[in-house]
Amino acid sequence: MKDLDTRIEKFLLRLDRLQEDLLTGKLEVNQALKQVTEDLSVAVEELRGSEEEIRSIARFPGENPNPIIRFSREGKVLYANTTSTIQLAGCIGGLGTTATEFWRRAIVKAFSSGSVYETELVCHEQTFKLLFTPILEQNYINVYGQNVTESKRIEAALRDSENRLNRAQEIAHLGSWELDLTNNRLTWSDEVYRIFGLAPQEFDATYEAFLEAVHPDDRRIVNEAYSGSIHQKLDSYEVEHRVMRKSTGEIRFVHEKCEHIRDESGRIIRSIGMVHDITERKVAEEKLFEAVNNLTRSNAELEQFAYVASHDLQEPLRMVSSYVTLLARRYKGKLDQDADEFIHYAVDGATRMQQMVQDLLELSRIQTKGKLFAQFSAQEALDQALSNLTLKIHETQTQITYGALPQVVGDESQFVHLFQNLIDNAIKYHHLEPPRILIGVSRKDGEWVFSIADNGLGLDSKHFTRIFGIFQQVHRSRKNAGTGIGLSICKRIVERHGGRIWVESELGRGATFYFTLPTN
Amino acid sequence: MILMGKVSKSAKAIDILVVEDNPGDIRLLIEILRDLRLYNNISIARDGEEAMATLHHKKISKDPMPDLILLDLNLPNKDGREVLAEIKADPELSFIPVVIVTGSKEERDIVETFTLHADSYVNKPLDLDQFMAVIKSIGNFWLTVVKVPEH
Repeated sequence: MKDLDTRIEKFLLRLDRLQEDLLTGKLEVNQALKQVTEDLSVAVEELRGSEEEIRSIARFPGENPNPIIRFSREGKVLYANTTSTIQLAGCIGGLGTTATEFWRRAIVKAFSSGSVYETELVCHEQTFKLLFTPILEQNYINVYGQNVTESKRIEAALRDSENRLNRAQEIAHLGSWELDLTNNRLTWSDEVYRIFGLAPQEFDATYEAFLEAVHPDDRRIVNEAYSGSIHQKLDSYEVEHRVMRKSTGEIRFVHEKCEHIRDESGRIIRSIGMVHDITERKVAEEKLFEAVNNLTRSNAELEQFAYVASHDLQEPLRMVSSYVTLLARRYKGKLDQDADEFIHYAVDGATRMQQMVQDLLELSRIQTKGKLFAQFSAQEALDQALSNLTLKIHETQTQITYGALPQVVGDESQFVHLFQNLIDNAIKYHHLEPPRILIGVSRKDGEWVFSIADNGLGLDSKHFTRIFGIFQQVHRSRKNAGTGIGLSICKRIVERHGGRIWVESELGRGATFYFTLPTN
Repeated sequence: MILMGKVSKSAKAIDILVVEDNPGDIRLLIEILRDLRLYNNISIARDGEEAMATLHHKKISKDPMPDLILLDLNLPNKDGREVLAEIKADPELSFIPVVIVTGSKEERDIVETFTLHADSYVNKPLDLDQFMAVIKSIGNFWLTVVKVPEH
C-alpha cells in the first residue's frame, strides 16, 4: 500500500512537471498528452496489481472455515463471511440489518467490559462457540465463531460414561484409585470415598488419609503390601483388610488390588488400584463357615454317638446273649415247652440285636475308621466282591455280566463292601427265575456312573428314598433278610467318596442301583 | 474268693486268678472254665488293688502263685494296665502268664498292653460259643503247652 502511495506521489509530481513544461513551452500539448497517457496506463496497471493483492487479503476472512462476522456497536451486521452465512443462516440477519437480541446483548457485554466476551449459540442443532472481540477505536466488533458440536458431543459422552462408571462402581462397591508418581498426585473415585465412609471428593485424596481409613490393626499389613511390592519389584499386589469408618465406627472388609505401571527404565510412574467392599460376602462367608463348622461338629458328634452307643451297647448285650445261650444249653428240654419257646425267642431277639449293634458300629466306622484314598482298580474291587459271594452266587445260579471297570480313587476295601452289598441285595431279592445281574459303568459330567441292574422283585417308587435309611426294609418277610442296614452302608460309602446313590425300579420288573464317583 | 473245682487230670493243681469287676463276666468265666474243666482253684479279684493284695499275700505267705491271670483292663481302684505293669515289674510275679480279656478292640489298648508285656490279648467274644472256644485255647496254650519256671 505504501508502495502505491509513493507511486501516486511520483505520478502527481510528474504531472506537475508536465504542466510546467507545457506552460514554459518546453513541451507540445500532444506530446504531453501522450506522455500522460503512457504514465497513466503504467499507473493503472500497477494499481490493478495492487488491488488484486488487497482483494486477496480481503478474501482471507471470507475463506475462513469458521464463521467470522463484524457488527457495528449498535448491532448492525457489517460483514459476514461465507461460512457464517451458511452455518449461521437465519441466526444472524442479513447484511446491513440489525442482529437479533442474542447478538445485541453479547455486543453490549463485550463493549461494556472492553475485552473479549465468550458465549455459545445453538443454531440448526449445531453448537457454536463465539468470541466477541470489540475494536473500540473503530466502534465495531469482530465475532470469531467455531462449531464445537462434535467436541461437545464427545465431552457429553465422556461425562456420561464417567457417570455410568461411577454408578457402576457404586453398585458394585468397587472404587478405583490412581497414584501418579511423576507429580505424586493421588485420586480416588467417588466410591472409594463412600467405602471409607466419606462424602465423595470431600477432600483431596492422600496416602495418609487412606491409611487413616484403614483399621488400626491392619495398617501395618496394608503399608507392607504396598511398600513390599515396590521393594520386591512386583508388578502388582493384593491385600485384604478392614476399614473403620470414622464417622460411624462401622467396620467394612475390603479387597484391594493394585498394579504398577513402569517406564522404559523400569521406574514406577503410576500405580492403579481398586478397593472392593466385600463385607457382605465376608459376612456370608463367615456365616457359611460357621454353618459348615456346626454341621461338621454335629456330624462328628453323631458319628461319635453312634459309635459309642453301638460299642457300649455290646457289653450288656453280650451278657444277655451269653446267659440266654447258657440257659438254652443247660435247660433245654428240662423245663416245660413254654420255657423252651420263651428261651428260643430270647435267644433269637438277642442274636438279632447283636447283629444290629454290629451293623451300626460298622456304619459309624465308615467315616471314623475309613482308610485314606488311593488309586485302585474298580475291576479288582468287583472281583473281590464276587469272590466273597462265590458260594451265594453258585447256590442261587446267579448270572453276572459286567464290562471292564476303570481305575478310580477312593477306599478300596469300602468299594469291595459297596459292590458286595449291592450284588448281595440283587441276589437276595430275586424273582422266580434265576437272578441275572448286569454291572456297568459310564462317564458323564466328570463322574463315573456305576450301575447294578437286576431282574428281581423291584420296588415301588415310594420306597426309593426310604431304603437307604437305617434299618429300613421293603421286603421284611423275606428269609435271610439282614437288619436293613446294607444300603445305608452303601450310601455312607458313596457319600464319603463325594458321590450319589439312587435306585430306579418298577415293582416286579427288577431294580437298577446307580452310584457316582468323581473322576478326578 | 476261692472256688474249689474238679481236680484236673494232671497231678499239679491249677490256679487261675480272674481279675474282673463285672459280676456277670466273673460268673460267665467261672461257668466256662467249669464246663471246660480247666481249673482246680479260681481266685477272683474285683478290682486292681484286690488283685495286687492277693498276689502280695501269696508272696508273703509263700503260697503257690497262680498259673494264669485273666485280667480285665477297665477296673476300679487300680486300672488293669497298672496291675499288668506292677506284675511284670516284680521279679517274683513277672513269670505268671497274664492274658488280657477285655471288651475293647481298640488298637491303642492292644499296643499299650503288649508294651507292658502282656502275654496275650483277647476280646470277649459276643457269642458264648466263641468265648468258650477262646478260653479253651488259652487254657490249652498257657496251662499245658507253655512251660514256666517253678517258683
